[in-house]
Amino acid sequence: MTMAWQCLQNSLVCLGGVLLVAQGCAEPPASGGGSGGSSTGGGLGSSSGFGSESGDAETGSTGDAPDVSCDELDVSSTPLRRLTGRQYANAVRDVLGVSVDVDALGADEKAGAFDSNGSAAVSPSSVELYRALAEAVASDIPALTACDGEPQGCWDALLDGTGRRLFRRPLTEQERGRYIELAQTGVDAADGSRLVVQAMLQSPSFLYHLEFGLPQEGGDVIPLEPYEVASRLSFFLWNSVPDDELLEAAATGALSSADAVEAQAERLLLDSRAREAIGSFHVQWLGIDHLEDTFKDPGTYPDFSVSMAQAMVAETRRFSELTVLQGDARLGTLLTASHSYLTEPLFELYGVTEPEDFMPGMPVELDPEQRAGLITQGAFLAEHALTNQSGPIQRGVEIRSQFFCDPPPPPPPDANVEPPAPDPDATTRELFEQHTADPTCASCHVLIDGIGLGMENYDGIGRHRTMENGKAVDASGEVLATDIDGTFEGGVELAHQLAQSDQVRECVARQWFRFALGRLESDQDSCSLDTLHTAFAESDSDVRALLVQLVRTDAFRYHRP
Amino acid sequence: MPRRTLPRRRFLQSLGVSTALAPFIPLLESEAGGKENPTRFLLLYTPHGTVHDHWEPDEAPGSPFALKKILQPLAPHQDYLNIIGGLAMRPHGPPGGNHTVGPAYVSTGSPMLEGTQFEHQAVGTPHGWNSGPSIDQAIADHIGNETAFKSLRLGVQGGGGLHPGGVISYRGPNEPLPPQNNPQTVFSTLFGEAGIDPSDALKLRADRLSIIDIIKPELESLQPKVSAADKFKIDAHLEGIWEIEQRLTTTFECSEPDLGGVHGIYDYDATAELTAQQIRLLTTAFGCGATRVASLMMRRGENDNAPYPNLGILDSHHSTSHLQDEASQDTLSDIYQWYASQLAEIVQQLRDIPEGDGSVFDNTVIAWVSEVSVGWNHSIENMPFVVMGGSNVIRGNQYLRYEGENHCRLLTALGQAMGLPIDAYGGFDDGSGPITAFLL
Repeated sequence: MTMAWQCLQNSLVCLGGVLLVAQGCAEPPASGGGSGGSSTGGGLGSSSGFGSESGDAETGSTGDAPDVSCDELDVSSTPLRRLTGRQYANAVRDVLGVSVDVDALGADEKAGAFDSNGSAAVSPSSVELYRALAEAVASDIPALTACDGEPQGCWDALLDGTGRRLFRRPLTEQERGRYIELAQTGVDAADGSRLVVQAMLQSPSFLYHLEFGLPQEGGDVIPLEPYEVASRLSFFLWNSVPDDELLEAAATGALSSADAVEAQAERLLLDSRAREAIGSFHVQWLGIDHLEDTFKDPGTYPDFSVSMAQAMVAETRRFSELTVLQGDARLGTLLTASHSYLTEPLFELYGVTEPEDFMPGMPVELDPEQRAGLITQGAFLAEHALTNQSGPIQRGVEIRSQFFCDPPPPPPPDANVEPPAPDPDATTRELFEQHTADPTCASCHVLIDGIGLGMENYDGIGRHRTMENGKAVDASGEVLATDIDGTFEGGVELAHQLAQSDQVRECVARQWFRFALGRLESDQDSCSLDTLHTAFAESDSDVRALLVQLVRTDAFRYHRP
Repeated sequence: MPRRTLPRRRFLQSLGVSTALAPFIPLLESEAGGKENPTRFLLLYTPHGTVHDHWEPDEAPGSPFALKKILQPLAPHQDYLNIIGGLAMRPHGPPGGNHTVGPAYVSTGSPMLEGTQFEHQAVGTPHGWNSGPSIDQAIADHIGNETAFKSLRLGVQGGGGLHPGGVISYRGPNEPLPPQNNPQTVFSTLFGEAGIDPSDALKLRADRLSIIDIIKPELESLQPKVSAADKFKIDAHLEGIWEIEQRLTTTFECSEPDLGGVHGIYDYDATAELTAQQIRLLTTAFGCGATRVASLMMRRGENDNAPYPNLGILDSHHSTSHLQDEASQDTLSDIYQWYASQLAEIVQQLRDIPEGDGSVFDNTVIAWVSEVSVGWNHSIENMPFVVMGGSNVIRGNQYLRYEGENHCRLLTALGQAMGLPIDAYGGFDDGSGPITAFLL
């Protein structure tokens, strides 16, 4: 309760304190029972009360019996979501072999930290872009639209192959009729095929994640239809459409049990397409997806450039992909590894010499006193910093929000949130300590700054430092109001402490849940989340095991219309 | 299957919708749907408010006045200028950081929706998108139905994801209309078919209509299947399809403007060039009748750390906006003065396009707004509004103050100036009616 008390003692931030309580972050850690998180994701919710089992779901079920892994079947509803730009581009690449510029599709909304177009309606400009892109793509696939035989045969094959992949299900008879009719308006068979592809790329069956579930008598929660499960699987693990094998599994009823879904997930994770999803999760989770558009004051950081930003993001992406898919997949490794995957501009930044026999893609050993996993990599440190100095507050807020799932309350509306200007005679810590010494700010900032100031041994672009403005850097920090409260010294120690935290482990599971479903969790998902937390803990925090367990959950396989 | 990259050039060429079949007709005179005095409306947004000492005249409201530093570039157009001080935004609903919610508040006069989507911003409690239509879209509903484009929404370097801090135009609740930040895309949208052989263009149009004939019933058949909460998404998509149809059955003739070079849309060394390109596209579209309504969002206040190298300013605008010392306020004034010079450029270009006995500008109203009043304290009192317009639509050369009054009065007046039959506008409206000083 420390945090809530501290906040409540001060009227100015009282609102924030109340908010924290309302979000459940100050709950006692073992309240014993699925209180779940609030829908705002503020609280970590129950870490106990694992009444339901994760591993004893029926095996080899034919789908007649419902795959209920919790005592009571419950899931939250999922809003109608439009494909993200990346999903659109990946689908077009995988099905049609054409690459499109993701940026041309415009920005996506987010659910939590993750791209998901689930709340706003499509804008007319996007509908217009879909039309334009469809025309451009469809005119660029001569091999696919070429037809040697009877037009009807070519079109049938197109609908059965390309059409089924784009829609992630076979077309209905009525749809076939309509698309054949469209093809017949073409000047020849190839032109007809081109029109079909052009139309399909603008169809809601392509552009939206349409999920209606299996019609079922009574019951607010119904199983997803097998093709819908296939789509969820492939968009989760590939960020793209299912392949033929997955669609075939859906067609033959081989996705109706949790075990069968798990088996397909295992297969998908072995495919190289899984890299993109794993990388995207980490890039979005860490908030580094716009690093290359970030401005840094060239006077302070003359080395920083777009290409350095790109190298940083590529490093974190590659490190995550390889750790999860080819390494031991342990959360601890992601959080504490002293090796990474560097490209040219980063050797100097990390103060290591490029090995003689270096080839891009080779792991590089970094100084374990200076680097430990994701939060000590350049991308995280540069993103969560100011343009002309480090960013104790940004870093503290980000770690509380994204690693502990405990976002601090917002500052009161009239707070002066302007960071102090850099001073050549002072360290950043000295400036910020003055800044937040005001008791009205300190009561909550202690939760943020204790973490962020402990990362002062990295400057605003992630370079390790022991001196700043002629003074020794003080990188002592303290974590408060978590399950790993205590002091630490520098980013490496912090990273190792995060790796020991149950709260961080559960938060990471929660983040993957959001990523997989493209929405935030609600109380109705607490049963699914509980099974997930248990499985993640029992697997020694094996992220691959977490992903596989995630696809087994009710939340992943059921639907609330 | 071999993977191929779509050639950039071809992609841009094909991004077209206009029926501009005679691309090289010199732009002699505007042609807006054959109407006499077709009115136009532009909503211009710039971030972080203003520096009031350098913005607001020293004279008493209602008296003749001299322009101060920030508005100095508008001196050639002072006869058409209204400086409107004192109005305040009076929001209710879920509170948020003013950089986040301000762009919507100022243009819609309506609250944010309850929601959790925007919970992770540093400032503000969770909320959703805005609940209202923005004034430009209400006007587009009224005067935009006969042009190829109901409205254009343009932006300059307003990136950082789809977020309320980066949107000023809303069609309605949960229907944000994000700006297009890439002038090349706008160009292709407006002039994409330029140079296409007329018979090919006919086939293109026929193909598009055939495809719409498939897509529309597909969307309509989803309407009874999706949840009640999702129905508006299908409606909005149908609306987007309808706009494509509208373009396929509406003709206009536009001459392609010369935009000069292609710049990365986040190249901060090219801010001036990107802005000039968007302005040229905008005035061209107004002039040739491609559209009568537009919004132009220059940068954004939310998480804005962009510099202005074109003004010799390398510090982040946002950071500077929080500083209260004189030097910082001078720097900010330079930025706001530059914004004013861009508005002056828009006015000048519209005045240079003949229409009837005068110019396109004679029939145009431009409202210049920001999401806050003062950068350093995020105040939404005493908002700095500027309204400019031609003599056929509004009065000018006025310095007005409405101390603490509701800014929905201004939105109502803008609507009335454009012929909307309204006497209130937006969820914050308190029933006090329009401000009438600039109405004819």
